[in-house]
Amino acid sequence: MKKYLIETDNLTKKFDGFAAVNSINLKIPQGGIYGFLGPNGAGKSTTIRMLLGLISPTEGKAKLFDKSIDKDRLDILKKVGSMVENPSYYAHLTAYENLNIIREILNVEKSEIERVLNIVGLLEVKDKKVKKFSMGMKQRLGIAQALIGNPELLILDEPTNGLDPAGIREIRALIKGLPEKLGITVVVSSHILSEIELMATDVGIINKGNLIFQGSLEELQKRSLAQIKIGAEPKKEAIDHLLKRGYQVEERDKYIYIKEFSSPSILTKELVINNFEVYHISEDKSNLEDIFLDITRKENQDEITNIN
Amino acid sequence: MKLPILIKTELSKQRRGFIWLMILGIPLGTTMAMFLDMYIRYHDYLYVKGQELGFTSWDILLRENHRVLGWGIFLPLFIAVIATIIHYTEFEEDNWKKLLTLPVRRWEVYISKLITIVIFSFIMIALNSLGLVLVGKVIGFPEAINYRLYGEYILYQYVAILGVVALHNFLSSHTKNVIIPVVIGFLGIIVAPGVLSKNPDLAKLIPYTYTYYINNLNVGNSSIALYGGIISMILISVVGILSFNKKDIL
Amino acid sequence: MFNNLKIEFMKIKRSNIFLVATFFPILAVIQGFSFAKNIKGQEEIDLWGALFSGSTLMYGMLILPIFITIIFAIITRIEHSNNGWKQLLSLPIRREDVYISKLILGCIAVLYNLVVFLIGILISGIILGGKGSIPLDIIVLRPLLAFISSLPIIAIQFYISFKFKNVGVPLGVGAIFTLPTILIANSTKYWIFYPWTYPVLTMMPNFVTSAEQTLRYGIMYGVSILSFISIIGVGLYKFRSKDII
Repeated sequence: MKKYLIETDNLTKKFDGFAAVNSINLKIPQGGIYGFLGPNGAGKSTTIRMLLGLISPTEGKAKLFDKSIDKDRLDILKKVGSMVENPSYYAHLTAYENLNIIREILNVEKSEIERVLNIVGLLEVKDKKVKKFSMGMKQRLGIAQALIGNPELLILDEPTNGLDPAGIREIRALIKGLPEKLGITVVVSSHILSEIELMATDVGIINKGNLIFQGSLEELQKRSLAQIKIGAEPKKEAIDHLLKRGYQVEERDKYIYIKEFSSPSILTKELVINNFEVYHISEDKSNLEDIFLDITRKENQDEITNIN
Repeated sequence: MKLPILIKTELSKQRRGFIWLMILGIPLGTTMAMFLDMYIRYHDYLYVKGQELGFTSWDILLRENHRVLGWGIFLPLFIAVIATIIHYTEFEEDNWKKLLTLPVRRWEVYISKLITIVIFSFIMIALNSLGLVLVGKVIGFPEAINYRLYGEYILYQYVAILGVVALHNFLSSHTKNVIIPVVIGFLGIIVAPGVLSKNPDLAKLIPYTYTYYINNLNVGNSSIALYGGIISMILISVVGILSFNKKDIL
Repeated sequence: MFNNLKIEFMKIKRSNIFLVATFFPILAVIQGFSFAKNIKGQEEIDLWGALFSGSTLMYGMLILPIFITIIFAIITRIEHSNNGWKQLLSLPIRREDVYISKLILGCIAVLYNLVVFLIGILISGIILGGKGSIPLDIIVLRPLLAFISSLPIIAIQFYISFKFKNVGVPLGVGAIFTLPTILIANSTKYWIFYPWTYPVLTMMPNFVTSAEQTLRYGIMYGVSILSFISIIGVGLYKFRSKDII
């Protein structure tokens, strides 16, 4: 039985009757990177706030480290570092002073401050007032604040927000290394799907308050709409031929797309034997974004059908 | 018990902050105002009047500060502004969501803010009285400094304002809008004298009136200031903690 | 310009300032009302005068200056708090228009406050059944004159509210300048140097009557108008060239 670090039981949050988070059952395994995906306004931040005890659920429960957040809040938070939405800071204080405040509350050594500043690349500006920081620097500071004290669980809300490509790569590499090097479990929420695809081991997709998918990244990718992309001449006749053979065919740009899992070699043979020229054949695996859009589109369609 | 650490961090958050200007500048202002007042009126008028009524110069100076200048009236308003500043530090940039995901009990955070407001208020009050002593010496009062009088004055103020401190800690913790607690404080100091004269029993329930009872010079019952301050602080803080614990940080 | 004014008005619509502006002068009137009521039984009293002076004391010394402090803090807070300056000032509107429309809005609020005050006095006086004709010259004219003499306070508070991002600054400064007003207003020699005494002394000139004082009153109006123009002018100049980071 896989051990889940975070488990929620029908976790719900309603605002004036509107369910921002609707009965979700998160199962976040220990030791991996969990990508929490969803469009803006889907309920990611609200869920995270409930996990951290910032807001109380309307119904349901949230458990971290096998403890309930409303009963054992202190024990849980001792092991969690977080950054919710945009980074928080005291503008008129320096980066060092900001981190020092957290350090003192956590009661860890002073050396922690420089350690985390180094990790996020802000060591040089430690004595600069945060109000003078660029957006990317503030973002890094937020991550540093979450890292201080070496938590077992890291919850990061849109951590690459505002960073330039080099920065994004650095933070991604940092996050990816955490489970291996330090045994830290990371929960990353985002709406940038390519980022999640490159980092996550497990994924949960939330849309309009509902958890519509939860599983490993591989499971999600398997759902992918793999297609075979064929370039054949003469095109129109080739399409007719394939249709007669019972394939689902779509025509896009100059190519022919077969919309289900088929064997490329069988298709090639089929066409060549019938005197078609095949000049291109490839397997087109759609990326996470397409899968995501597909899943959420289906959700919305179901909703519309239900309404009708 | 993280309370001492929290208080320490609260103070460090105010480093290079505007609040120091306030708690130093206000007593400076009152000292100068009292100096001018004494310079102009003491020798010709106040000293003579005092002799008639049997007051020492130090008594008169205190009365001028508390009643004529209006220190006793305005003190709650200054405290409202102090409380606003202490909490505004957190509301700016959404710092509550960081602070309350650290392993600290919510009530400790709440009380640490309360104590911080108390500390700054105490400094301001003490400096105001110190300023008075300075004025008296510079003007050259004939009588020796009456330490007991001024010591009592400071201590009575300390206890009397506890109710206002607790109330504004509560108000400022609940709303990001800084104007509301200030308007309420303003309302309090305006309404206070009216209620005192019309309905003295009701006045005992309003924290804004307690500074009026501080008077080693006859008017009013000073013990009301003490009891009122302590009891209102405890009651309001209990309600405040319960409410703060349940609050959603959005 | 009118458009700007409308926009500014919309911004503060939800900030309850209307309630505050209406409520506070009424508090002062209530004070005056109970004062006048208490002495009503006695003969030979000037009921209107008592009502007026009973209310004016608290209004002129405390309520009006603090209200000015609060209203300008609110008007500028909207942009300060949400980093709104960079949005507002990159729209195709002239900076002068923004500045002046905020000033005008605040002045309208102050005038409104004064008008509520004088209407309140009128109504209270009628309820109390004051004898003789209503001394309109006192009740209507003086508050309106007080608007002019409160121009220095308006200018200073406006300037400080604009300049400092931290809303505690104008609130703290406004509170502390209001504090010594009671003391200084009592001094016949030095009041002229302290603008916070101007409103209350405009409304209650029975403090002193002499040729010298009349001269001072003239000076007061002059100072009010001149200081207003210069402070607002300097503020506008600085605002026009300010870097919005």
